[in-house]
Amino acid sequence: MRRIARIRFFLIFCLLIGYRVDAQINLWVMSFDNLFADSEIGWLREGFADFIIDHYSRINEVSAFKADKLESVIDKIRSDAHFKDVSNYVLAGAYQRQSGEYIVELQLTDLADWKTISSKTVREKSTDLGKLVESVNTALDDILLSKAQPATQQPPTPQIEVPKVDLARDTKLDDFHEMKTATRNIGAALDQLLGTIQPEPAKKSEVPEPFSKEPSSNDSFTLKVKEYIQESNSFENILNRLLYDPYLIEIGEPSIQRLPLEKDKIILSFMVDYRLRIPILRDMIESMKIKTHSETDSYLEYSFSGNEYIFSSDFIKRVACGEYRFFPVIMMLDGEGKAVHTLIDFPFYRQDFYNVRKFEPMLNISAGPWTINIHCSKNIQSVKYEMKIPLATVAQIAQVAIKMMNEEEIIKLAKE
Amino acid sequence: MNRNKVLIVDDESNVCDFLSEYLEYKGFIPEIALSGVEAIQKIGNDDYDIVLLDLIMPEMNGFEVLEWIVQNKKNLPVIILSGVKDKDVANDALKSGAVDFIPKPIDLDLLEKSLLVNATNLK
Repeated sequence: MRRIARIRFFLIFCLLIGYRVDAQINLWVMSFDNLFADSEIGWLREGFADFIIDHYSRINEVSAFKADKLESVIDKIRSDAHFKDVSNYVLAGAYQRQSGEYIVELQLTDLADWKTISSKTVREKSTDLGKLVESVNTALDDILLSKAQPATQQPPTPQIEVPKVDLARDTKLDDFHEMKTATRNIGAALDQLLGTIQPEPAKKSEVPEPFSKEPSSNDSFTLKVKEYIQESNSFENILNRLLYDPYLIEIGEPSIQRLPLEKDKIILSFMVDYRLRIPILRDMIESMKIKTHSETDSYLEYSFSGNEYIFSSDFIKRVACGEYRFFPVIMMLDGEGKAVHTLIDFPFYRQDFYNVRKFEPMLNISAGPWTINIHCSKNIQSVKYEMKIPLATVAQIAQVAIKMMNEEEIIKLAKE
Repeated sequence: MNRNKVLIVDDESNVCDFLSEYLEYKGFIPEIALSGVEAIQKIGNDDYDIVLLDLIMPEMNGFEVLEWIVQNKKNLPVIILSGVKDKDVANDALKSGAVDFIPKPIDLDLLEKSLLVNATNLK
């Protein structure tokens, strides 16, 4: 039984990090053409490219790259078999804004023969940038995913829901921080543990190469957001974007302990380091009009005046109610992305959840009618999590994810 | 066979880059000017068979460059490339001396045909 569980876990684990369906299309994304040199939306030149590359970083069939210089792209394709043997398309895009409507033109050209594969025009009436980006990505998906051959040689990859970048989001920080490295370590630790419980010839498992994290475009993405901030007047909008993804989360080596009196359970523990993305937050905050600013080795604090921004009573109420304070929810997910064990690090108790009270929010906002203060801790907050889990549950764990949630979301989750 | 020398004039370097690679693939000799001023300098110093000219550019726009070409290099054909999909603008460009008007995003087949018809070297 244990052996079956172990094999099952190993298979899920391999599927998750070992087998990635090779991309069948390389998409080379050029900077977009700002057709009427509209300076207010000039940042979208690089912004669209970033959004698209970010979108395809989650889709196996297409690998998207930034094409800074087409000449070097073509040289690379000619000289590298990895690029030569698959379809290489270049995406040239152009955009304009007319009477509040965004018009984005997309043109895909096959670099093998310079034939235009498809041209599409995306129109979005709303000024909602998130919707626009989504429409552009969908239009590209329609073209590219139909061109990609169905993967027949590789085993199917379990679908794990991955967060989408959504600039339109107002207040939710509902992104999972995937921690595949931790998953691998848990797998190794579990293998070791099960080996000691059930001695058998140690089968040298084909552990895949350590998961290499693809370079995230998040930082450049955030820079674009920063530029957007400079063009926005709503403090609330600015704050929502500021809180898009402020934490850098790192998980330490997990350890598994056997319980002498409970053979069917183990204690799984690991450290998580939380810290704020201070350079990016600093850049974003300092792009706004600041009333006062103070900084020490351990914190950064800014205050904003009501003379510069309008702080609505509803906004102040929401700040006071903790809508902008986020706590980690740690989820152990199975191969289908379903939570098999959840740990909420928040001063709240419910029987079904393992509740700890260790994490202290590192980005705090206080609001009054005339002043808003933002306090950012510069320290690293290390939290040790420990949980007693049935062995069978551990065998189901394929991925660990951390979601930062505000109080309202946590209560909603608990109710569900 | 004489290869046609094409000057691409556009302030968007990505557009120039894209067209340059395309034209090279098609056997032309592309050169780039990222502004109207640079275009005039290049045209003054070198011989080109055709010019691909964007209309909206800072400092010196496409119409001004076109006017200069008409006055100083009468036989140099100019194809206008523009995001402005307005008949009046296209007519104005043609009346001002351009040989063709191709809207952006550029239909590459259309561009190739226009180049082959209009380049001085092939006439």
